Formats: sequence, C-alpha cells, structure tokens
Amino acid sequence: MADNSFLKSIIIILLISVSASLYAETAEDIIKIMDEKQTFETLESTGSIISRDRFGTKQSDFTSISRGKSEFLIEFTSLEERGQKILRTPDELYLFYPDSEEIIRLQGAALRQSMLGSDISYEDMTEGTDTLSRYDVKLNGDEDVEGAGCYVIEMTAKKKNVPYPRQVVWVDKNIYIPRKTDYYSRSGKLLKTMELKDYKKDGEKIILTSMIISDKLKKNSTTELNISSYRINPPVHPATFTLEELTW
Amino acid sequence: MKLSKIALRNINRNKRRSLLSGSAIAVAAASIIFLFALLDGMETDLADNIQTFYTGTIRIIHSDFEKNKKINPMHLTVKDPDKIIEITKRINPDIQVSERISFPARIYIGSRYFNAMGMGVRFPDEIGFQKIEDVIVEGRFPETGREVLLGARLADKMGVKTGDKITALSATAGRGSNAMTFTVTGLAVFPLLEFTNSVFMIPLETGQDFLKMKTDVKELLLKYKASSDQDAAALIDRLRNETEKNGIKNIDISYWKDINDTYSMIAMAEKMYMIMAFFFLLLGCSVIINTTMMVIYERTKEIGMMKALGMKNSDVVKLFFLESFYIGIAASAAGVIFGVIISQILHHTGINFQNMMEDMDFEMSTVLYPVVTLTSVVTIFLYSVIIASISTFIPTLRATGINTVDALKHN
Repeated sequence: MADNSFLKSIIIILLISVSASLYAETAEDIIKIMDEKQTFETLESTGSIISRDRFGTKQSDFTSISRGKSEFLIEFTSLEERGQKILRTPDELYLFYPDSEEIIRLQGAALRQSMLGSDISYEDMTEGTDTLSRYDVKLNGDEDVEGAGCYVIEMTAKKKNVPYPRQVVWVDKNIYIPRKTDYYSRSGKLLKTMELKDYKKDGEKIILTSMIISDKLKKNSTTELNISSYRINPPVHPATFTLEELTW
Repeated sequence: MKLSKIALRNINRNKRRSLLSGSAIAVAAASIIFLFALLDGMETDLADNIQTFYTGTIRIIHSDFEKNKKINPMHLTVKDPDKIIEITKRINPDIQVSERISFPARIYIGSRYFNAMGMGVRFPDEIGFQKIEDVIVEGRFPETGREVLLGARLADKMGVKTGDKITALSATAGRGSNAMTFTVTGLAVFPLLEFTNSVFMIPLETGQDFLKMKTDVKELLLKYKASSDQDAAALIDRLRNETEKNGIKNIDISYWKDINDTYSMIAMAEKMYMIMAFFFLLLGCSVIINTTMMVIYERTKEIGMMKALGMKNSDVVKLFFLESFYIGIAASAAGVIFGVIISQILHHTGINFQNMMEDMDFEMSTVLYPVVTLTSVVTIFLYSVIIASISTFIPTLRATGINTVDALKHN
C-alpha cells in the first residue's frame, strides 16, 4: 500500500510538471509567470549597490518598499547619499534630495541616467514587473545558462518610451526567473547585461537577491545589486507612494 | 636734371592717375591695418578670456582629470588647496589665485529642466581675478549659503528673476548625485556669450557642500603677467618642485598655452593672414602695374627721346621705380594713418559680434576692441611701399625694350 501511494505521488508530480511545462509553452506565458513570481502585494527589502570601475569600488546602501507591479520607494541610507529617495508611481519617477526644496521629476532620457554612478539607471532600478504591457515577446528556443535549462525569449518594445528597445532574456525553465538578460539599443548595439547570481524562494514567489549588471558602454565597469534582507507583505501605509510622503 | 625730380614732376603731370594708383595702395594698407588691429584685438581678448575664465595663466588640477574629463570625474579633485596657495604666494606674492569648482548641472524649475554649467567660486577673490562686480547687471553677487548668480540669458531662458529659487542637480565627488535649491541674488552679463547663456555661480563653500567635496576644489587658477613663456615655465618648475617637497601629490600644473588650442589657432591664423595681406597688396598693386603700363604706352615717344638724348635703360627703370616709390610712400602713409584712425575709433567704441556668435561656443568676447600695435604699423607701411615699388618692374621692363627710333615715331 505504501509503495502504491509513493508511486501515485510520483505520477501526480510528474503530471503537474508536464502540464506546467505544456502550459508555459508560449513566450507570453513564460514572461507572465516570471513577472508573477516577482510581484508582491507589498515587499520591503534592504540591500546595497556595489559599483566597481577603474576608479575603485563604491557601495551605496538602501531600503526599499514596493507595492504591486509598478510602485516603488527607495531610500538611500549610506552616509554619502543619506536621505535621498526615489519614488516610482505607475506613471512617473521622482527624486527627492534633502538639500533640495523641489522634488525632481525625471522624464525622457534622464530616466536612463546612471544612478549614483553605477551601471544601473533610475529606470532599471524601479522597472516594474508588467513586462507584457511594454514588450512583444517571442520564444527563440532554449539554452543552458550555468547548467540551468532556460527559454531564450526575445522582447521587442511596443512603445518608444522604454529604456531598451530590445532585450533577450534567458528564463529558467524550472523556476521561471531571469538567469541572464542582454539589453540592446534600437540599432542592435549591446548596452547592458544582467547576470543573476542568487535568489531566494518564498512559497511560490521568488526574490532575486544578487545580480551583476554591466554597462557595456563603460570600460571595465560592473555593478552588484544585493538584497540582504526582505519582508514579504508587510503592512504599508496607503500614502507611502505619494509625493507628500516623499518629503517626510 | 636729377631722376628724382623728373619722377616727382611726372607724378604731378597727371595727378588723377597718380591718385588712382595711390588710392589702391592706400585702401589696401588701411584695410590690412584694420585687419591686423582686429586680429591683435582678438588675440589679446582671447588670451585674457582664456586666462580669466578657463585656465588662469597656470592651472592646477588633479593629474588624472584631463584624461578622464569626458566622463565628468567629479571625484578627481585638488586636495589641500590652502597649502598650494601658501606655496604659490611664497614663490610670488603678486600671483592672483582663483579656487574653482566647475561642474555640469541640470536646473529644474517645475517640470522643465535646463542644462547649465555651475561654478563654485570665492566671490571676494573673483573681484580681482575676473572683475566680477563689472558683469553684474542686476542684484548682487552671492555672499554665503545657498545663493546663486545667474548668467542673464540663462535666467531669461528659464523665466527666472532676482529673488526666485532654482534647483540644480549634479554628479558629486562621491560619485553619486545631489540636488540643491538656491536663491537668485543677481544676474550677470559676462564678456563671453557662453557664460551669459549657461553659467551659474555659487559660493565655493556651498559648492563643496553641494558636491560633497569637503575642502577640495576642482581647479586652482593662478593669474599673473608672465614676461615670457620661459618665465612661466620656470615658475611652473618651481611650483612642481615646491609642491612635491611638501608632499602634495596627484596634481597637474600646466601653462595656459599648453591647455587651450584656440589661442594657438589664432596665432597660426595670424601667419595665414600675413600671406593673405601679401596677396591683398598685390591686388592693390595691379592698379599700379596697370597705370604704369598705360603711362609707358602714353610716354613711349618721350622715352624714345630720353633714350636718344643718352638716357640708359637702367635710368628709365629707375625713373619709373622712383615714381612708384614716391606714390607708394605717400599712399602707404595715408592708408596706414587712415587705418590707424578707424581702428583707434573702434578700439574705443568696440565692434559687437553678438549676433554672429549666437550659436558658437568660443572663448572670444561678444564685443571686440581692435588693437593697433607699432610693429604692425611699421611692418604694413614697409610692406606696402616695397610691394608697390617692386610691382613697377614688370611694366618698366617693357619700356627698356623699346627701340629708340620706333619710339620717336610713336604717336
């Protein structure tokens, strides 16, 4: 009897896996699952950005709160940038500096500016997880990335107001996370690369806890983005993602 | 009768023609005097602007700054500027020093933004260094804290006036970014359009705080009257030795002529203009050649007669040469005097090139003042006389080839 129930469990798991893989056959489905796994009702985290280039290494620490797919608030805590905040709302991106009486709304090319001299732009840091609203996706086969089988998905921007007109993302076939992403310009020039170094699973959700971003337009420059701690679904004040709250 | 007397008599025989020949030389000489006065004025203006606004006579920056300047390396600063100033003053107490932090910035006003060039300066020092009080057209220069002096056209572009607030965003020395809000205390019209269009100036300490520079500066500009390039090179050597002895590292000390290319371009252009002046005068001389040829044709019978009376070919050449020489002297003198008068008037009134320079980033002032130098006056006078005199040789050679008998028959 015991052997039978073990066999049943194996068959059920296999059936679920097979049905899951059948379900995730289209590029849209894969990206949707990838986004959902990284979308939280609310998420609070602390981390650091470590930039390395020919001038040395620089570390900036931050805390961040996000809600849903497109609301983020990041506050820098390291001495050099203490009190600086970045607020992303569904439509806009704002910067708050303690020395400034005005909140700066970033738009257009300014969104692509380097954040704190790193390889990450303001847009990269706060990019939401609603990928399918901004990109057309196409499955381009599969490849292994550091031993993990991945779908290779090409994403082409639907609108002109996205930072990268074309992306190629390698999505892990088993856990649906981006193992690697290449970002291209409209002319096909490689602008940036992202490599995932570590992640944490929490139930169905996945938090990308360490990744390396490299701006290919800069010489010998890489940036490590690390999440040291996080809390899923903490209570968040409704006014957190408003301009009024930003100046507090 | 002496040849010189005959030459003078011949000049007076047809005053209109002599005047025509002379006026061509005079116009050419006057134009060249003015052109050279303008060039000298431009050169003086450029040298002054470059040393006042950009590099000083000697500039001290971080040794790695220049090779990385494309990426705006705000962290490559000059450390311990007070020590360097102390060393400089010990070497020569008359050297004026300007501590500066220049930085590209973006100014935000509401949802609009404007690209600008920020500059942190010690305003009291800039009174002597760039006569800052002369450029202020409204309000006053910032004294302390978060106050800003704006280029008048930048203010106009942004719709900002004295008493308003602006917020500037810039990269910092900590390789991050910062934004700060300033109150506009004054507007300035600088001699350079680029500055009036895009510069805002804040107190040095505010700049250090804004850009997280502690007590560092981006550059130290030293200004003094170097008697020669060698004199400046000797001072630079001494500064290098003294700063090194005092343990100051990672600085680059350079002479302004080695930093800025524009001045050497103008100096090179001056040589080109010398060649152009030569052709300009030759053009003027074509009138002399032309009139001399007409004179020779008209006076063929007279030449024949003089030759029949025993005048040698060389004397015929000398006669025509002397005629041109006298015309050349008179015309060159008149042209040079006229050119000097015009240039001197414009030296006081100035020539406004603002409309021409609207879209140019050039270290030249919008109003230029021609400068007449004794060297250019003497050179151009001699140049004109010599070219005018030599130019008669071509038609005169024709006169020497005239057969005496044929000449006497000529009507």
